[in-house]
Amino acid sequence: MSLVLKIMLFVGMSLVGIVVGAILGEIIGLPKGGFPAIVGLLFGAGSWMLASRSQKSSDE
Amino acid sequence: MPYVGYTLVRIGVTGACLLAFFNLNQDNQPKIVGIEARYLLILIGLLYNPIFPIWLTREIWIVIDLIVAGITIYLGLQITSASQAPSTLKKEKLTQTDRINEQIDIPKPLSSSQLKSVEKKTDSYMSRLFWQGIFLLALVLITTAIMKS
Repeated sequence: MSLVLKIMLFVGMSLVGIVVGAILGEIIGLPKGGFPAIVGLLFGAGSWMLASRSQKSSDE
Repeated sequence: MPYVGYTLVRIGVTGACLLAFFNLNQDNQPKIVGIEARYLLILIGLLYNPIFPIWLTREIWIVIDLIVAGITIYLGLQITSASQAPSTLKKEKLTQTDRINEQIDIPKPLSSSQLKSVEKKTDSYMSRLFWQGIFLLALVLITTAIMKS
């Protein structure tokens, strides 16, 4: 798995996370700016972690 | 205060687009609607730049976010599959200009060992970012729950 794919996954999943966070925040009634951004970063960092783990396992 | 979160995301997206732009292989770049990947990356970087932020309504940003997410994930998969494909026709397709460029040996922005080191550091940073995000999320949820009750 290349670095470029990880970067693209990070960007894409961060943005998906922001949208998910915005919708969830609206439903639960959480702060508008902070919550979606945190969820976005979580999605992005999580997808990066999963990608690097699968890279490691395929290398081994 | 809440806007700080979005600024962080803007910095992350723009930085990631720049990093991907400089690490793109110049050959076999995937295209979307006739636009090459590197130009798309520049466009996305400009759209999310934290220095001169673009102000749009929330609904428009949601639509843009989903479109950009789709584009980036698609580009990532296309770039990876293109780089893994055997390049048997590559040498045949070389033009005169390409041959001259190969002879000049244009330096790449990062060598493979530097790239590995950057990747390793980013891996550990992302791991920390993930757990910090979980902690922050728990903090926000607990604070909101206390304030509501």
